[in-house]
Amino acid sequence: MNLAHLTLEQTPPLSVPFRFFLTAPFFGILASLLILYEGLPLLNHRWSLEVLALTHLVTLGLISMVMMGAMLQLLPVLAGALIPRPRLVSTFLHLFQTLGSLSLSLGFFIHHKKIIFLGMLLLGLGFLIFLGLIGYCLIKRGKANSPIVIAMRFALLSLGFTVSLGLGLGTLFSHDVALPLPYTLTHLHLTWGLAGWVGLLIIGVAYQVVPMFQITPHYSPKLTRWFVPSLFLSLIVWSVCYFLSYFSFLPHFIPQILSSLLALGFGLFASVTLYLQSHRLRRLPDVTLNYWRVGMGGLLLAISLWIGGLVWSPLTSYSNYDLLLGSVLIGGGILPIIQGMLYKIIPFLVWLHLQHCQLKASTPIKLIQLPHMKQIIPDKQAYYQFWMYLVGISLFGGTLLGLSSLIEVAGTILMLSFLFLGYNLYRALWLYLSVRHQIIGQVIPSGQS
Amino acid sequence: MTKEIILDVSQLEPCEPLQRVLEALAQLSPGEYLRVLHRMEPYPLYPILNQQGYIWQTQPGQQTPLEIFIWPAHDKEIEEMIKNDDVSSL
Repeated sequence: MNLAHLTLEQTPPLSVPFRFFLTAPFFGILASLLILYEGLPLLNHRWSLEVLALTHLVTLGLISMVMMGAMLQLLPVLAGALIPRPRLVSTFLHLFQTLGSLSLSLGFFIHHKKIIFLGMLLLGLGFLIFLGLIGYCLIKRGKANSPIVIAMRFALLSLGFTVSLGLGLGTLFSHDVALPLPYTLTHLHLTWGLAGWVGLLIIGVAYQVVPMFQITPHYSPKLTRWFVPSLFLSLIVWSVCYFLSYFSFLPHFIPQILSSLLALGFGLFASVTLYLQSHRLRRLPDVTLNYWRVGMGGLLLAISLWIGGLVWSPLTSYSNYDLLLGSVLIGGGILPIIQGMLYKIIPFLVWLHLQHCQLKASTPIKLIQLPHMKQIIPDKQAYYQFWMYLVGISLFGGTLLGLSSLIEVAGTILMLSFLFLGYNLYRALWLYLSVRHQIIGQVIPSGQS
Repeated sequence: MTKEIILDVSQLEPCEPLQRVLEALAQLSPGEYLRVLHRMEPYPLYPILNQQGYIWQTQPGQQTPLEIFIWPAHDKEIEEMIKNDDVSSL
């Protein structure tokens, strides 16, 4: 994949992806506040409503929020699929996603079924619009069949399964089906969400951003051609076998073997990415690279824990095994990758839009010196935030391994890291607005503006 | 007398290549042209070159995947030389 299609004309208005990107840190802060408020009781049970509130704050409000913004940004430039009325569409999607994630998590937190239902309704509406619109654009308008576009299609299908299962589970819950909810549906929901929607899209985006921004060799075309479709197919086969084994039509070890193969597939992706990063052409320190390396390490650790639990059952009998596995995967794998991407995509988009603004506004002779990417979010600040997050998430992992007294410290440091992330991202927006004002001011004398 | 200025941006991450090219163009003297060594096609650069009064030609490179020749639109001598593929090989 290359930058060939990333043209100035096709890129949507900056406000389209930015509203999603800039909202995400608030959900990180809310999730940290929940950890702080609940303290140790939060870790008592993997299926408690408070844990569901925490996971949905992170997966919907933070991870899916960023991924929706990224898809709205990437679809027109990489697939040539222009989204109709992008500002209006993104306003509604953002509103549904924000209010829906807040309502659902609040409903779980205060055990209020009507608020959970409201959250489901808002999220369902938002996802329905998102799936319909993006699906239409990818099928009808998308011209490119590049690996990233193929990954987007499969990720979107996975999102469809995840949302359907989530709405089904929510309906069961609102009809007083006793907790824990049917494990089969819950496991399908979270596997399709994390491995399908999040995992496949991350792989697709990695094909684009790792070689482009980290100056590594490209992923092998042999790998990119079949990898995401194979993982998607494995997910389908695993789901069918898992369902059949639940009704004892198949022995349990068959879906377990399939899930191990699926996990090894993601392990292959993480290993190849780490290998490419070790062969990067320009060996300069880069916070995105650090975040990606931590993310790939977290992914490999989560895979080891998962497979370890399958082959050595005493591991799963450890009281915090499920929570530890989820925290390593989400907090140690996915969130670092998401934050690393934000640190690259946001400065790049700011610069790209300023360039576009200058191109439209300036006379042929006069060009303003635009800030470069390292000035838009300074390395030093990004590194402070990176280390803060790393310490916070490690301490949270420590609490799950028995150092329970650390939970308040972990929650506080995580909250500060998301505050810092928000500060870094809003600073980039402020810089964009001030330079844009400067460019426009050059064209329109102040008396006429 | 024409002179070639070589600029290797093949190991720089976006947006540095574009900025380096614009800086190098600002320092071109009459009779000089730019030969940019790049690893991907710099689409965002082209409209800026158009606006700034430059012409470009992109072709596969020897050391890097792509080479982009850039010269002032009024310099017909350079244009003829590049269009006739009369530039020194790297």
